[in-house]
Amino acid sequence: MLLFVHKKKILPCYGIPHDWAIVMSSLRHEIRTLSSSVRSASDEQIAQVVATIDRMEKRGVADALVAPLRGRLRALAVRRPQTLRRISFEPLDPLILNNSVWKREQPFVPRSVLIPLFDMMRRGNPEFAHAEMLLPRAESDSTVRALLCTMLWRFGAGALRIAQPPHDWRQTSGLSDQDFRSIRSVVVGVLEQADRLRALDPRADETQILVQLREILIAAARSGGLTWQAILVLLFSNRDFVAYAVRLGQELAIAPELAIGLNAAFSNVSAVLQNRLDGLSEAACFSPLELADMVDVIVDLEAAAGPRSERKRIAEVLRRNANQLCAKAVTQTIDRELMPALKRDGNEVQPEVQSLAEAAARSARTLGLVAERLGVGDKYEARARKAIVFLNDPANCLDPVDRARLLEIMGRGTEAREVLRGAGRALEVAVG
Amino acid sequence: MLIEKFHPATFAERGVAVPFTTPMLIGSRARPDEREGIELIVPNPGGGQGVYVFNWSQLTKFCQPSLHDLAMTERVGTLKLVTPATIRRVAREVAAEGLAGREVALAADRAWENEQQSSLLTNFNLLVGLMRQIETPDPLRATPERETPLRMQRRAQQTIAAFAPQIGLPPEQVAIHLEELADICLRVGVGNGAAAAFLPQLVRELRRFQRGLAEWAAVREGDRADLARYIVSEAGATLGVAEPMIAANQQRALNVVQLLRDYVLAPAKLSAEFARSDWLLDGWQLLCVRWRAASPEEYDDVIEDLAAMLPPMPTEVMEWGYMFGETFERNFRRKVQAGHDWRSGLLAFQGIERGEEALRLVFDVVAE
Repeated sequence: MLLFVHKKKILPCYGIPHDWAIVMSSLRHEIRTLSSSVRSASDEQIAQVVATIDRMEKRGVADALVAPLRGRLRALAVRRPQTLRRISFEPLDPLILNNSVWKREQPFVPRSVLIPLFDMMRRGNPEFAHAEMLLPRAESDSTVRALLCTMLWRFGAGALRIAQPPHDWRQTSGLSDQDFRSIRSVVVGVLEQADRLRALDPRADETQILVQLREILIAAARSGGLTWQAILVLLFSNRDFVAYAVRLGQELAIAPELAIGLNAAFSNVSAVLQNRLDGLSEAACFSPLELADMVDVIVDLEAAAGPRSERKRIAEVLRRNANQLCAKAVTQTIDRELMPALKRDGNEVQPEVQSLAEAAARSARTLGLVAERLGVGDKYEARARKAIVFLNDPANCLDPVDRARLLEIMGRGTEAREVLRGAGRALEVAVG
Repeated sequence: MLIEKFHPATFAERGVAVPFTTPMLIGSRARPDEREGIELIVPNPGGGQGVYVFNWSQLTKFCQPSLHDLAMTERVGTLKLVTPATIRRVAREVAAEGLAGREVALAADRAWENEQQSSLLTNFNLLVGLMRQIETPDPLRATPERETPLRMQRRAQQTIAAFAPQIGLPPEQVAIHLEELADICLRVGVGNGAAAAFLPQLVRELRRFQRGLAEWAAVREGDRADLARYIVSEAGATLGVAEPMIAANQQRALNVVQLLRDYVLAPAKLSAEFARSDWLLDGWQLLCVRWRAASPEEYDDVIEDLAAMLPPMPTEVMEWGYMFGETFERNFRRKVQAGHDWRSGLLAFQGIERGEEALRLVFDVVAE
């Protein structure tokens, strides 16, 4: 099925039109126009657009519609259908960039090469036919999914390692044969380590984590400069392992090319994180936990940056941008979510309304902790004061228990107890 | 005070599990203290061996409890008798105040209504049992369940009046004893309503939990999988004793005449015998709901909580046929970000939210 775009509505188009070139040209123009307007679409509309595109058998130029939304889709946690191609490139996810921002000799993969690369992985690989049969079960069974991942990554890497650029590579990807080789080294290098990366358990003992990470990094260093950088970027953007990875990376980067790669990874991870921050920034509504995760990474990166001015500067820029995003999110959460849920007219309030208020209070609290981590907790306090003052005001229409709970969630335990005391419910521990 | 090896000799020494919502208090138990009221036993929050034991009133010095837990502390502190039943009652009353959220309060209200109905049903079933034993068989007479309320009341009065002289009590006293027996048998279940009683339901819940955890651990390796397998074996050992014990009590409750005689002779003894399975299973419900409240992605994080909640078996349980297996030494370390609970990896207020969800399920299990 093809898409036909008409007056900013996506319509399915069955069959192949007579004058194909004219239609394609027209479609591209429409897509460009639509791409620019889709940025301002609501989160729900975006989820609808993506779902429509995901249902198509052949996406063609419609893929361009999704391009500007990638970061936002991640922030919105839009569930995409599982496909062999998506699972195959899952370990590379943070490294996949839109073609417009991709640059040569960097540890990233332009999105346009995914289809040709996947075709090369699948061609003549009987394991992929087997994987196709397992795919429907992988949705509901995590063990099957794990098996599927191992198959796709291992056999995919094996097929790509010996692959040569196809004859139409330049036409389909717009890239040179040299680009093919450097992209191939990143993809193969990451896929070869993908099982080990997945096995990393943040709950495991520190010694165990260090041993596993060392194995991964040594293997990456042996695979070449770009793989080394790619693996470092993946680990540097993971809150659970960034501190370990920086430590080990510095320890292992004895050879000059590895030291250069480590510095480059530092710069590149900032691009990845900035991309994610942009995605959150564009989303009308995102999980504060996503921002909290990122801020943990940024703070750890900054701490590990040491006195090197360039690394420090990169981390500071990220911190500043995260700070701005946090401030915006706090204001939005308090003004658009929490305060409207608190304005009640004195009638009996449905539990759902209180649940909404509590969810907003939890978001605000998470953002408060993010602000503290960023060293601007006092600014958060100033923004949250409106809600705290309202909750402390006995003249509002809220039930004292509801008020106390909201204050407790927002980290004001003492004030919560005072509210209850004011309502004649002092919580005193007495021993009989 | 830190006790490095906590091996209670009796159930009273082990204490009763308290459904706190504060992550740091997971697995805490209350027990009477002869000198100073009530003591709190808290699993070592550092994850090491042993428990902290301190006076109930010192809780706020140990950690910053949630509002709900403060209210629990306040109410439990005034209890004269600490048993699984009294703690459940207090937990339900505190939850109904709404300090753990409105949904929890609604669930607690439903559990209360359900218990009232179960109490009535148990009383009715005991009465029916007594009628079957005392009344002269008459194929023309309707079964008690099919009688109109008025005729049923008349037949019950006649039955009690006929039986009372056999144990040397006035009929009114027998009726009161039947009501008291209903409270004693309520959790085990009597007659037709037995399967819906609290303990048989908990046994089924524990079976489901055991199966789910075993399936999860079967495809995993490492410390957490070993710990899960240990919990599965402990659940199995507990069920191995609890199920026959409950079945025997249910069987015993069918002979209402003998039950009344035993009660008149030694009410405390009978009450203690029926409460054994409640003591034996105490605390397991909290593990079941904690597991049930978690999504598959969270199972890895929940295992540590389950380990902290695992009820230690007192040595007196050997008299009931319980076989002790090998002990499991936990020695986990984990690096977490500042402000996160090391066991679950959650922020403190997220941990409380998870605790509240588990508490809601505690009452919903009862209300099912």
